[in-house]
This record gives sequence, structure tokens and C-alpha cells, in this order.
Amino acid sequence: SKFKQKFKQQKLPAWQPILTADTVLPAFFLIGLLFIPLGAALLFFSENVQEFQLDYTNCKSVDSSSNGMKCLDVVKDDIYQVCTCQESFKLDRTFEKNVYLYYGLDNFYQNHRRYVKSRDDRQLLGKTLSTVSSDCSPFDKTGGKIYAPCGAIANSMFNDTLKLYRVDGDQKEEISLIKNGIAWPTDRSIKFKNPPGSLDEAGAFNGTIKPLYWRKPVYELDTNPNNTGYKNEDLIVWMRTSAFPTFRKLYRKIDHRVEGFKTGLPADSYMLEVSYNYPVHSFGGRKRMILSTTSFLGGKNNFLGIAYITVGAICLLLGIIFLIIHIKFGKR
Amino acid sequence: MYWDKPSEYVRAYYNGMDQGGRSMADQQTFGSVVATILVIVVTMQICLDTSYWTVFNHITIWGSLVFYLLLQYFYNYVIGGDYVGALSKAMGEPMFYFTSLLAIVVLMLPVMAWRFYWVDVRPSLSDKVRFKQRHDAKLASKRTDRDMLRTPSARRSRRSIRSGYAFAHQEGFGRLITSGKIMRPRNAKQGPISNGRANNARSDHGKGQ
Repeated sequence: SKFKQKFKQQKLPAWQPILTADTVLPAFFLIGLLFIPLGAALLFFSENVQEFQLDYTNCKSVDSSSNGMKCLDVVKDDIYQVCTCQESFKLDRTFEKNVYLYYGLDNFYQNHRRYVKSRDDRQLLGKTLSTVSSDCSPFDKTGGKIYAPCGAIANSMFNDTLKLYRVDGDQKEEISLIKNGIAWPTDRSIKFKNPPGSLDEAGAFNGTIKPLYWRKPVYELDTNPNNTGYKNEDLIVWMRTSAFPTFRKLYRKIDHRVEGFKTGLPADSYMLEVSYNYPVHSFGGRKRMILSTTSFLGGKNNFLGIAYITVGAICLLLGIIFLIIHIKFGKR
Repeated sequence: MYWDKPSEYVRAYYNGMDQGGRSMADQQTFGSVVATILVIVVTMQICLDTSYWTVFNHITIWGSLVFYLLLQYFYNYVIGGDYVGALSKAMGEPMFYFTSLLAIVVLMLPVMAWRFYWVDVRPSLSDKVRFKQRHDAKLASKRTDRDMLRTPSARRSRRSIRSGYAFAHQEGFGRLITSGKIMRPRNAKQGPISNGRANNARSDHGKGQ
């Protein structure tokens, strides 16, 4: 066949691109002219994302028993001590829906190698095991019972409870929050399943014990049977280890079906109430509450816009420089 | 020289979120994205180095990208790998495409600029040969087009192109003959003995090409 002949004779039709001035220079100018407005658009989208952060690491207790101590110190003395604190804040602009509530941690290295390994994915898939993976050690078993879930990641699960109130003088109105749909859909459907049986100590979780630092066992994480055990969305969100030491995780979504919040979170006075359980003092960490909207790019991130503008400008500059070089020194 | 710059991915994906507010700044997403963009960028740099693109080059180069994606999917969803959902989620968000475009341009720009400079100001021998080849090919295609029109005298006496040799002495046929266009492969079937003259001429013209 003709093709075979051409193939054997090395005469196949081919495209032979070479870098000539009349292709490269227009390319530089084109990229430059495209990237700069693109960067400006990306920056515009990012600037439109509204975000509010509140660091509550040092908030003061409102419990009568604690006498105005910082909850940080209360928890330092006794890790199981209950401490409630409140922080007031104001939103000066209305946050348009959808508004998301995150908790943020600083200086928490979820990306430490041994930490990342410390889990047993088979256990989280709901397989009944007699032993868990040695990666979970030293959080694998104790006294003949297996930790459910095992490992350092699960053990260090974030357990503060955040509540939001809208404040009007002396009145405060609790803001309704949604706790479903905060975890990745693929995680919920593929990676996390409960073991078979009833969701209690006698059935599915027979022979297990709650992780060392937890206050409640895993099957008591929620009253809703679809959101408890290994399928609890807060657990799933926590188990997706973050890449950076300063990170945020989705905690709740503002319920915009409620009257007064249908278009978003209005500019007003608010109060955050924290059940301060999570101790961060030992590693110099900080805790934050973040309220944020999203754009089609995700959260507030000016980097991409600025980067595009910078690269576009450099491209244009290079184009001009090479044009001059080509005219003056080009050999063809 | 193939290189990569993970620091920009860090800044781009820092506090990354999907459009449902869910955090995308986790390790698996970050790792999958960096690895995938790396594969794409290295493929682009291979494209830059490939100077002769036959159909096989296209198949292997684009095919390897497609194969990488298929393999990712297969390993995670079918066999049950650890990273299930990470890359597909990342690729479902516009952030990924903006980041990879930026990465490709940033990493290709210096290479292209450097090569263009050398080809333009100090072309090597092989560069000069390629330029000449392309230049000649352009001229040759232009020349034959023009020649076909520039034979008004031939139009009167032209009955069939096959016997163009008989009119070789007429004005305007010179270029047509010497281009070898009228010497069809049909002549080859007659064998080297029968049409000796035509074949001699043909082999001459073949070499002159």
C-alpha cells in the first residue's frame, strides 16, 4: 500500500515546525495580549469573593466556673474540661449566598509523613478486621480492643463546636447551619463505609474502643444514622489531610432557606459561640473561624490573577526585545 | 532541559476550594495536580524538541497523555487506589486549567526564547539547511502554479499533456518539461526497453529535482 511504501522510504508526510521570527514573535505578542486581560478578569473574580476571619485561640470563657480565664488555659489543665467562649464580630458588607463556614488551623502539620500514613483505609471501608494496619501504631489498639477509627489522623480530629448567632441588642438568634454535603461526594460514596450491623457497640463496632483523645465513640458522632460512624461528614473532611500547615476545612454551610438569610448573610452584628475542646497550645497552633463565599475559581486567591498579568507583561516585553534583536542582528 | 516549579502550584492551590466550598487544598489533590501538570509540561517540551512530526509522532505523544489519564482513572476507580476522586475532582474545576496553562507558558517561555535567539542571531548549519529547505519548498510550489498559467502560446496547440515532449521546442514548454510533471508513472509499466528515450529523460529530470 502507498502508506507502507512511504513509511519504509521514510517519506511519510510530516509537519516540520521551525522557530522563525514570523511565528515566534507574533506568538509572544499574542500570549502577552491574551494573558493580561485574562489575569485582570481572574483578579476581578477573586476580589469579589468575600471573606471574614476571626482568630478565637485566646477567647475568654463565659462559664461561671472558669472566672474569665482563657479557654486555652482551661483546656491546658484538663483536656476533658468543658469550656464555652464567645466572640462578637460585625460584617460590614452583606455576604451574598452561598456563604460557607470554615474552621482554620495554623501550624498544624497534617502533611507530616508519619501522620499521613497513620490510618487504615480498609477499616474505614467498613471491612471487619481482627487487626488493623501497623501504620496506625501507636494508635492501633489498647487493652485488646481496636481503636475505631485507628491512627493519628482520626485521633487528632477537630472537635470544637461552632455556633453562630445574629445579635440585635439583647436578642440573639441562632443561625441555622447545614452539615450535609461538606465532604467530597467520592469520599462519601467510595472511601468511607460503615461495617455491617447495627451502629453501636454490640453490632458493627464490636470489639472496638473510641480513639484516645475523643470524648465520644465514632457511632455517637451524630444522631442521624446516615451521618454517623465512619460516614460522619466531619470525620471524612478531617481525614482528607491538608497539604499545608495553615489550612481551613469546611465546617458548615449557612442555611439560606431561612427567612432573613435568603439572599446571603446580611451586614450586621454577630456572635460566635465556641465549645472550646481542641487544644492547640502544645504546638503553638492557632484556631480561626472563617466565613467565605466562592467564585468559579474557588475561594479568595489573588495569586492566579497577578501571575497571569505578570507573565503577560513579561511576554510582551520579551516580544519587543526580540523584535529589536531580530531587526538588528537577525541573520535572515 | 526539563524542569518544573512546584512553588507556583503552592500559591495557586493555597486555600483552594471547589465551587461547593469544599476544601481542595488537601495533599492528594495537590499531589495529583502537580504530577499531572508535570506530565503535561514535559509533553509540551517534548513537542518542542520534535522537529519532524509524522503521524506516529502524533499518536505517541498525544497518546501518552491520554494513556496517563486513562491509567489514573483505571488505577483509582477500577483497582481501588488510594487517590480515588482527587484528580477527577481537580480536573472538574476551572482552577486546574488556568494553573496548567500558566505553568506551561512559564516553563516553555525561557526555553523558546533561548532557542529562538540562537536560531535567529546565530543559526547553526542544520538550522540554515532547514530554512533553505522550507524556503525552496515555498518557491517551488509558487513557481509551478505560475507556470501553468504563463503558457498562452501553448493553449492553442495543446491537445493532450501526454505528448508534451513533442512540443518541447515551443516556447513556454521548457519549464513544464523540466519539472517532470508530465512524466507519469504510467510509463514505468512499459519497461525500460520500449520507451527508452522518455525514460532517459525522466531519470534526468528526476535527478534534477
